[in-house]
Amino acid sequence: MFDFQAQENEDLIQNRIALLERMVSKFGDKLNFENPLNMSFDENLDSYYPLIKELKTFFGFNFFLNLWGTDTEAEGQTCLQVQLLNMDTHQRLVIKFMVPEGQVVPSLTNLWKGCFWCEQETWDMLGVEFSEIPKERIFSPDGMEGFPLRKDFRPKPFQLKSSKYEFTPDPRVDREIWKQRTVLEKDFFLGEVNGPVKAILECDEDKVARGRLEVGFLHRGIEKIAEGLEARQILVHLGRINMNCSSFYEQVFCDGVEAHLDIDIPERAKALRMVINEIERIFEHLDTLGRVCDNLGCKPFLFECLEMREGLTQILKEYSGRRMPHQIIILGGVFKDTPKGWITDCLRVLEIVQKKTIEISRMISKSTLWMDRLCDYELDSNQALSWGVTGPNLRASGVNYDLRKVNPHYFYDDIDFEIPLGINGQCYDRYLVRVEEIFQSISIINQLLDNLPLGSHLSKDARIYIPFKEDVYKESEALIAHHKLIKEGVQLPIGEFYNSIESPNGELGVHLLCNNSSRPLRFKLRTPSYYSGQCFSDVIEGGEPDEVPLVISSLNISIGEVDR
Amino acid sequence: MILEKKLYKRSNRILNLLKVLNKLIPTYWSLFISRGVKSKNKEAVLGAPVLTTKEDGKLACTSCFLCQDICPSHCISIEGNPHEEEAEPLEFDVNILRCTFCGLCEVACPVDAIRMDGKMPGALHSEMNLIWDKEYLMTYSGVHQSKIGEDRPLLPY
Ligand code: SF4
Ligand code: SF4
Repeated sequence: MFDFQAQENEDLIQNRIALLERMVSKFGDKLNFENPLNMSFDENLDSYYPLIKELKTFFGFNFFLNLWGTDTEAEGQTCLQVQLLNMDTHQRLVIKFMVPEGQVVPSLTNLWKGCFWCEQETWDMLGVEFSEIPKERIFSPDGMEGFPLRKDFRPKPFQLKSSKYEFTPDPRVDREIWKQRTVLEKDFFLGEVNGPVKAILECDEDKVARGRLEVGFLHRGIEKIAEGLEARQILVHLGRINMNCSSFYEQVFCDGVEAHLDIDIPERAKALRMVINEIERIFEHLDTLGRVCDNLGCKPFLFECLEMREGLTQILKEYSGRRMPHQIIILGGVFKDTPKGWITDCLRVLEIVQKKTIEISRMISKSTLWMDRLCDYELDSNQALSWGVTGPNLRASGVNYDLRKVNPHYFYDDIDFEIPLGINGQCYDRYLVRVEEIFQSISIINQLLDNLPLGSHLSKDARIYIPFKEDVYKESEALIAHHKLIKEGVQLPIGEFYNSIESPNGELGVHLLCNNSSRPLRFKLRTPSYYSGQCFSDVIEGGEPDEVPLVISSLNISIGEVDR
Repeated sequence: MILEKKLYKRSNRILNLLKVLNKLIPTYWSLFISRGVKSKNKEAVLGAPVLTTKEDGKLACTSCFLCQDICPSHCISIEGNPHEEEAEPLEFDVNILRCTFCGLCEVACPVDAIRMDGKMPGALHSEMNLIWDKEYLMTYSGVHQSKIGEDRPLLPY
């Protein structure tokens, strides 16, 4: 039989080599291959816009991943980094530019709409100006002086200013007609949506003409906090960004640090990490499903979803001793082996979850009321790619891109599962994709728990492993290692790395710049909801003001992830 | 007319009551009886930090400042005794308003002087009560003896 999979892999490798050869012949030795999947190169600021446009049109880097700045040691210089992705070859590319103080950088919003918040945030945090981008504080309070992510920033008392967002004239309609529009402001809190957020809507009679989200009410400054902490302490804060899927944040960070230190974790730890992650994926999707039901007024299904979520919380609590941020994943593996009888408990709960989800989806998927309300709010694939949306929202528009398939880590290669795809990118497709992903996750967990590898659950590498308490009391060597790890922390060698994982909402990435000490110089997160939060303004166009919470929960914009 | 007859058929009250009860009873029944989703096997939660004592009733802490260094939210503040080495601290405050109940302080302590007690703090009346001092930390959930060298359950990290 012809092996399609092998042929595909062969093609992928061929394509990747061809792309690399073309790039090397064009850019020469500016390229820096630290990791074959994440290359980077340094460039002059004059060629900023033309270079990126060329990369997009001729080299196939058609997906915008991230844009961020780093304060450097050189006086008044900021290092601006743009990260792009080639979706055919899964090649990631980081381009670095040095920006002197006061220089205005051309905006990339013509190429990708999703740069908007990134550029606004870079101004807010580091003071880098972009053309065409309004100088508004997106996360820090209005009226604050200074830029928090600069190294010389010292907080000072300031007067809080209240500012109101005003829409610019709409170029698509007459000015007279535009003046008759009304502006509505709506506040939402936890319950209706996943965190506090404000929606500003420009209404034409009773339809929304334009809308945007105002975020920043939950901003905790995790990126700033992380600069003063060591790896184990950052982990505590990471788990609290999005409570529903905390293990993904822990894993993406631990995995990156382990790869940076060249530590191989035991197979059992890998399998257990995958199990915990898939449980959390179900957890997050059930949360979304329940919230969509709630916003449509189907309370009974909301309670069913909450009950299933409670069952999953209970099994995670049985494992770790804590309910919400359970912190099972730690540096070097998982902190504990599975408790006695946990696997049977887990399988039993998952079976009930599967039965109930089938029951719910049978009842509502084909019902006319459900379809009438949900077949709306379209996000087509072009828009989704332009906004940088990933995950189930992108797959609902028909783009087959899942990091578990294209860049499999751990045992995802050996496991049999499928990626559900939608067609139109409507709320209904997003709902169907999420429900199907629940079933796929359950099948992944079943396969994993059936073939759980034996062995240790924790890597005992001296660079990250805190010895057992009993050893610390008895042996002086263990005591010294214990003191060193607690006092100094995990030493991160010089260099930078990017690691990404498919979280329930999309590609979750962490970027760390280390400087031979235990504290990172720069810590940057790429959270998926940050980009689906921006695409809200496209999705809500032509909708009704009352259905804003439905749109937000169907896109699953988690405000904790957006604000960080 | 058939339609009228059907629409205004005389209803049997007892039959209707039975019909309603048939729907109602399972609904209410399910409120009281859990349907097996919840797991029955419960383990202790981590809880909030407590200070342990030695056999003679004094604090086991030796003011080594390891827990203060590792705390990710900077909520422990210790004032050591400058006249003696390895003596118990003069002040030991834990700001429970900032605490994330992560358990790193227990992992850090080399003499088992601070430990998570398995009880979550409930609501309290004022902000002052939530900065716990040495005496309160020693006594609020009973007296704990430090157990150096004994088997303790493994904690995260
Ligand atoms: S539990 Fe965590 S946050 Fe609380 S005092 Fe201990 S180390 Fe600090
Ligand atoms: S780590 Fe233990 S001995 Fe050291 S200061 Fe903290 S409580 Fe005291």
